[in-house]
Amino acid sequence: MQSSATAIDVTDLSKTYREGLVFRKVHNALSHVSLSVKRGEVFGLLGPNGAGKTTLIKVLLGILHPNQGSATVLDLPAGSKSARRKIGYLPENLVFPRHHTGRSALYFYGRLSEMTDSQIQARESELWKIVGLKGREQEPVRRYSKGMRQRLGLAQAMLHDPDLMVFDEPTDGLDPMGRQEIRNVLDQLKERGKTVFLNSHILQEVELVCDRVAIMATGKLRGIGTIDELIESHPHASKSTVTVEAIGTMAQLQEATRDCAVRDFSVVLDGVEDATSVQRFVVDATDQANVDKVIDRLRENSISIYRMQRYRASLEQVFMSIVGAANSTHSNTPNLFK
Amino acid sequence: MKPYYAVLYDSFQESVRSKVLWILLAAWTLILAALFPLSFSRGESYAFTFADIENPRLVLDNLANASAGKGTRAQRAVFAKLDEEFKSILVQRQANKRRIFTGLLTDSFNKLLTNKELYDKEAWPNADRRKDMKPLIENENRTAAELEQLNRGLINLAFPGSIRAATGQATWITYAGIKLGGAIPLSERLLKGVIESAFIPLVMRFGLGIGAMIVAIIITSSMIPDMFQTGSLHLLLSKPLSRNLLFLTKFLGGCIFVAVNIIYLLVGLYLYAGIRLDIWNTGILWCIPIFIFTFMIFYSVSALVGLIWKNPIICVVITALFAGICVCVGLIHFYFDLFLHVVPQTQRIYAVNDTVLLTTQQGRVQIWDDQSKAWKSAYGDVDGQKVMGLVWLENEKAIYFARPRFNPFGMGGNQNAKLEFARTPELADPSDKTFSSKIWEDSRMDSGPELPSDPIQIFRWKDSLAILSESGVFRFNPAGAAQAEERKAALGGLSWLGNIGATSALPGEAFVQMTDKNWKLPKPLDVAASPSFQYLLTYSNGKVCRWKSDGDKLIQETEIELELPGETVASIGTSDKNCIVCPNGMKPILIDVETMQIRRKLDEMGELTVKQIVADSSGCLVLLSTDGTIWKYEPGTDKATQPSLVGQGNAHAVSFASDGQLWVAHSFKKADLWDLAANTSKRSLRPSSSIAELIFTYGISPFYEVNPKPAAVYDTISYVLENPKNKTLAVNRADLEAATIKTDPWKPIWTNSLFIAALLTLSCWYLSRQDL
Repeated sequence: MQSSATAIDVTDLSKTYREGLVFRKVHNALSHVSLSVKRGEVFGLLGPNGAGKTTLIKVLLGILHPNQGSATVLDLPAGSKSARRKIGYLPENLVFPRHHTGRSALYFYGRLSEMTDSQIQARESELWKIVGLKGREQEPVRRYSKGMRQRLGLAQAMLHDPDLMVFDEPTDGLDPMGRQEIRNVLDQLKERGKTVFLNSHILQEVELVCDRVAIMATGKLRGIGTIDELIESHPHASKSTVTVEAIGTMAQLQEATRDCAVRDFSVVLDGVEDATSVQRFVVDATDQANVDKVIDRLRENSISIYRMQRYRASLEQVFMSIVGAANSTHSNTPNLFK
Repeated sequence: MKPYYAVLYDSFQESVRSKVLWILLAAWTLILAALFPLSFSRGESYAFTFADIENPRLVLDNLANASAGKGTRAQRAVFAKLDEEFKSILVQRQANKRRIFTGLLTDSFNKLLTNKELYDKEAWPNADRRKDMKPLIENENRTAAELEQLNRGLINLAFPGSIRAATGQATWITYAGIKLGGAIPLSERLLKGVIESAFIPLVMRFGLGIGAMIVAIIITSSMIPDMFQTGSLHLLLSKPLSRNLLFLTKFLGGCIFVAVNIIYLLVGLYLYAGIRLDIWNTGILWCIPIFIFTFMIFYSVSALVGLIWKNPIICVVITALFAGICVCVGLIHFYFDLFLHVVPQTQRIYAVNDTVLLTTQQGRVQIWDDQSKAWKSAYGDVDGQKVMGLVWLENEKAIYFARPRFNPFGMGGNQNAKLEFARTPELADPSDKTFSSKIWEDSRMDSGPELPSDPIQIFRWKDSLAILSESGVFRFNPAGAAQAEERKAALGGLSWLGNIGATSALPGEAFVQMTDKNWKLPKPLDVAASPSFQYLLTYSNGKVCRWKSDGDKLIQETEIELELPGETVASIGTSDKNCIVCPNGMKPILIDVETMQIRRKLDEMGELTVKQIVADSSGCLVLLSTDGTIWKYEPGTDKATQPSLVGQGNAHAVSFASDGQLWVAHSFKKADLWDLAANTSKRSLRPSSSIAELIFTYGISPFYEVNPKPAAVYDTISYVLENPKNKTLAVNRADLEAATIKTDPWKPIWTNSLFIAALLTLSCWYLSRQDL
């Protein structure tokens, strides 16, 4: 059977938690979530704490049972044993049993992934190198730092060479160097054509490595696409303005652009001499002729243009905008727990 | 299955790398090391033990007499050599009627054993004519052991019939070769039997069954909750594993941890018992899977609680509560069972014309009341004793019996018992003044003369009754008994000195010795009279003797040695032609009474313990085994068969009625009269149930059956520990007649297996539905 191009396919997935025996509290962790992840792509799932990201992963792994909807992983029912065989998973806040060394833990999880000891042996050397634990593998895991445990977690997730890797907050608690190393691993996986499902709330990390991103908030999918698509699709993604920084005094600049549509003058660098002063102002770019006119005027007055930039929203701004909007909608809903 | 093996292996590795396992193994090693020097040793000894003094009261009375210059010269000689402290205690006893413990008497006698000047030719004029004592008396240079032997023999001669003959061998408990306490009044073989059947099960029950089980539950309580540790469980569940199998594997891992400990400890105990006590009981090794199984019962509860609350402390608390509830339910069931089925269990059944009587294990005599459909207590509710008899004497129109204190396994000294005498209500003759009778609630009874010392059995002999004791066989002499009663009435109210004579009939007065005075029948002992009273057969310590009546005397005609291990307890029963001897836990032996030759072993009956054998005039012998099975041996077919009777397999007592029909007491309080030839029941006695019985039958029992019974597994442990050689732990014939409750030793295994299966299924169901 030919495999489809979809690695993960989620359709109308809902999950509700119920707590308490008498006064039952109901919490909708996932609400009608639908998304798909293509094979070979690095997919980022973004969202604030409590957005439902980990719940979605748990459903994909069969740890949680959905109340509604369906999901497939590599064309297999999500949570099925055959699907789990093809998944490498790095959970959030991974804890290894204290009696293990790094090596014995790797062997233990390898055996759980139905690998023989010889298969594990053939893979381990390369993995220790990839995750940067070469030479530390015989140490007891209880002496490992958090970063080392995360790397060991990555090693066990990659050990059986799965088609899909699900990483839940892989850089959580790591120092910048550690994060960089994890990103390098992700790049390598990407190069090898592996599908990576990355769950993170660190936007920079997602922006750097992910091909596509989904944003979740309050259990709902709020956006999905490439980073550019997300930004572009956002209503406030781009504004029709150009920011210009030019060298000269404030008076010179105001004089030169007197009949142009400009505003918001501010000092960027207040030099001792005029030649070193840099002023910033915003040009209305609704009409390109206005922009051209401003540039012409500046050059006619021998004012040097130091920098010009058309405005574009960042992923963080898009994220904050989406999440903020979701939260305000959510907070207006009185029946969060009913 | 490979991933699950990995989980199992990991659980084991976790145990190996944890300190707890090594601490436990070190603790077991220390216990075994501390136990290892404990052993027992055999040696030559003539020292007195408390069981040697068969009639302490008589000995003390004799010594009191001696202190007043009365009694025999030998008794006076013994008194003279006693230490001053004991003499003063004796005087105090006279003055204050203070009780003297047997231990003080034995201590004092033991001091006498080393006295070089005890022997006095005048005090013991016949001692130097005795084969066993002559060389000791003539030897001037006696060793310490020889002196002890001589003095023991002299003391025995001074108090005939009151002190057991010394075997010269004794057993001591030793620790690293040091004797702990005095000699134990049990042979090495019996001591081993007691250790196997009582001590080891006790250690298993309380040491391993309770102590080690609590430790195991506490230690393993965290295993299942740990599985749910955040960050650990989700990774496990992301692997291609079934969560139910993962749980069951973790459960098995906990069991393996405990198994390692149990194997280590029990193999150590097995080796200790084998090497140090020479008890190579493979039952100890069989206890390994049974203990693991017991642990699984508790662990299945702990595991379910761990799944729900994920907290080891809650696991321990709820498991302890579960154990407590089980113990409470078990105890309620046990005590109801004890007081409804064990204590009042029928020991013997008798029929006097149409009146049916039975004796119970608690020492009561009960009469069947057809109107109220109930067994009614007769002749006083005197509990804690053993009924000996009953014997109905047609001429005397009376039932005779005795109620000596029951001393299981020969422990404790024998108290003198009196022959009791009674009329059934319908047979009572108010004008009878044989004894100073009193009217009882439903009949008349009174105490008669004191029985010969150490009575073993009261049985019908011709038109009277006879008493078997270790000193011989005695015939009851009603006329002599009446004389003693008259003397008692005349001396009543006099001083302590007078009381001695008043309470005891003089030798030969109430009971006439039928066997030779010097002839002693060593225990274990049993007797059977042929239905025609042509012969009397005795079984004594592996030997069967045939006695014939010659006037008032019994003459030993012939004997046969059965080649049984020493001290084998056996039951004997005889018709006029065939005698059956049933050694405890062995195949019954059929003996031709005429030739006194062994005809054959009754292989068809297998190895069993028979507690009662009755014979009818036609030559049919009926045997009742301790497991409640009735066997019938008919000389015509020369075969033992199990007749199809109501109560077969659950019988407590059998007896032939005068018309040759068989009374069978069964199912605790039921009885049936059977015509064995027609195999039909002629009469059924079905007592109506009391409220307590109804509560037990319809309330407690069903609840107990459905309730898990971890404590009942100890019955299985006792069963596997029981050496076939010790089928019934018995020192005396009477021990064979102790109450038995027929239980299936494997029932706790399958009922508790169902409980474990149910709990694990519930756990799996809970886990499969659980969002983790």
